Amino acid sequence: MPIEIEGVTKTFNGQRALDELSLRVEDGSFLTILGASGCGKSTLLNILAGLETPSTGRILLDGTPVTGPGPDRVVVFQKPGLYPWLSLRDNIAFGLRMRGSSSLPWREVDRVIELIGLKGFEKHRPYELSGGMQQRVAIARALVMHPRVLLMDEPFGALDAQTRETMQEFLTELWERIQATVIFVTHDIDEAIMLGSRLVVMSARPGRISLDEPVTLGRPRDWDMITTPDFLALKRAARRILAGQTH
Amino acid sequence: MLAKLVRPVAEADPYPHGRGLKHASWLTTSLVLLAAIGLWEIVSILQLFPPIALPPPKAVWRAFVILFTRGYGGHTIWTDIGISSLRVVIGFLGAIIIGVPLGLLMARVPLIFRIVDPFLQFIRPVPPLAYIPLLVVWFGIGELPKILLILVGTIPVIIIGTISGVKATPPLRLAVARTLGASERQIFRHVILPSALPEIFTAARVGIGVAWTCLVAAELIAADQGLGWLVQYAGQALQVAVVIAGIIVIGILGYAMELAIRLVENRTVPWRGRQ
Ligand SMILES: Nc1ncnc2c1ncn2[C@@H]1O[C@H](COP(=O)(O)OP(=O)(O)OP(=O)(O)O)[C@@H](O)[C@H]1O
Ligand SMILES: [Mg+2]
Repeated sequence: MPIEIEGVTKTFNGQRALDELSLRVEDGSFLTILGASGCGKSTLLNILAGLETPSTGRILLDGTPVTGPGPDRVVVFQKPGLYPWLSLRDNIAFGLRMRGSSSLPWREVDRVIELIGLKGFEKHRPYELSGGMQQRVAIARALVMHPRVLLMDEPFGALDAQTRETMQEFLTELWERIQATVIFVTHDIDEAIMLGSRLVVMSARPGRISLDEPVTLGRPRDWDMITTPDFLALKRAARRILAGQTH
Repeated sequence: MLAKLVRPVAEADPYPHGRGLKHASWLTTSLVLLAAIGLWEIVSILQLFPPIALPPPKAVWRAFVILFTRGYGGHTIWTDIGISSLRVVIGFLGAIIIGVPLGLLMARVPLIFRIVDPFLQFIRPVPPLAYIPLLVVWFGIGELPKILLILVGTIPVIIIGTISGVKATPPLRLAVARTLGASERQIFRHVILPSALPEIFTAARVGIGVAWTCLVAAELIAADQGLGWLVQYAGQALQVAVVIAGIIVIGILGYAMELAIRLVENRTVPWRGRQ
């Protein structure tokens, strides 16, 4: 569903974290948001999720203002945030169970477990899984909800390079399959360009949009693309902003 | 001294993280124990203190044998153990049954917190002994005042532990549940409650110790049975060996009950300290 961010400002104790931010995100697009630490990326994502309210402005989803969290927008946070008293399978089914469906779609849950490559670990508790496995569970937990919007806040930040790459491929394939709108926050420039179909770069204090460009690389993406002129041009532009050299 | 019985849970828990530590050190513990008994023997042989004040280990052993066979005051120590354990367990369970729900309510409903908290803060520093006259006037001299004394002494620890468990729920767990569409009710039942469990268990472990420390005070209320009574009665008769034997039995029972709770804890919250 299309998301419209209309003049969103967020103030914390008189300090502006977001300043009159406006953005329209098309249905089914993969938007990556890049920005220095503290520029308001998480704040924006939390507002989109309905966990926080904007000081001014509003968010429209399919033309309807967002007033709180809803299972149509699921968030994958930087940390997995799994429930240690639940097994892997029950963690993934948590949202479905809260929705109150009398018969849970266990076949769907098991399919997603297979998709994230954790078949055989269904009964494991989160603390028996590695960090990367936990993060995959967190993603699976979001996916089984069939959200129309997937909000991801540096979900791979804590992973090692190898696992991160696997997860990036996994996410890209998944997005192509489920046709959801993905808003993906990161502070890794390469990751932002490799994943997104559109790149937004935010400047810091107060958070504003400094760059908003389509990513013209074709799909499927490939890490060899990081030497193509398109990639490098976008990277250079993003880097300039992150280094504080807005013209 | 009794006023210090009720301490905040966090600082009263001697093993907040290190359960494994205890296994590794059981050898040290038994060595220290043996050394202490040896020292005790030497001190009593040298007669540094009059034997009536510090009887030798042998005398305490004899007191044990007598307590378990012939008994003291007309019944064997098994009766005292039974009755005292019953009082402690009922008082303790009462504190759990009332304290946990009350703590949950206080943590969730600010109004209830504001109503109950002043009373809680008020009874916290009052030594259990001070309640005796009141309890006797209100409830007579039967079992009820004894159990109530233990309950009142233990409940602050349980309530405070429960509240702090609820408050310590990681915000991320709440945010996750919210974005997955859980209602406030569901969040409480499926996220906050299990998140608070580890701290509730810590409170219970501290609480069972507190319950035992309240026992002696409770058995000052017209008792003629029970370990607390035994210790006082023998003390008045200057039977120090019996007093020491009684203290050792109380210590062992308190420890055994703490271990029992720990066992339940390990089964109920196996994720404790691992997240
Ligand atoms: N709850 C809050 N109370 C006060 N200030 C806050 C709060 N949340 C965020 N801020 C402030 O808002 C600004 C943006 O924070 P935010 O967490 O959105 O940054 P970010 O872009 O996600 O950073 P990072 O990349 O480090 O995660 C920061 O300056 C931060 O100090
Ligand atoms: Mg952030």
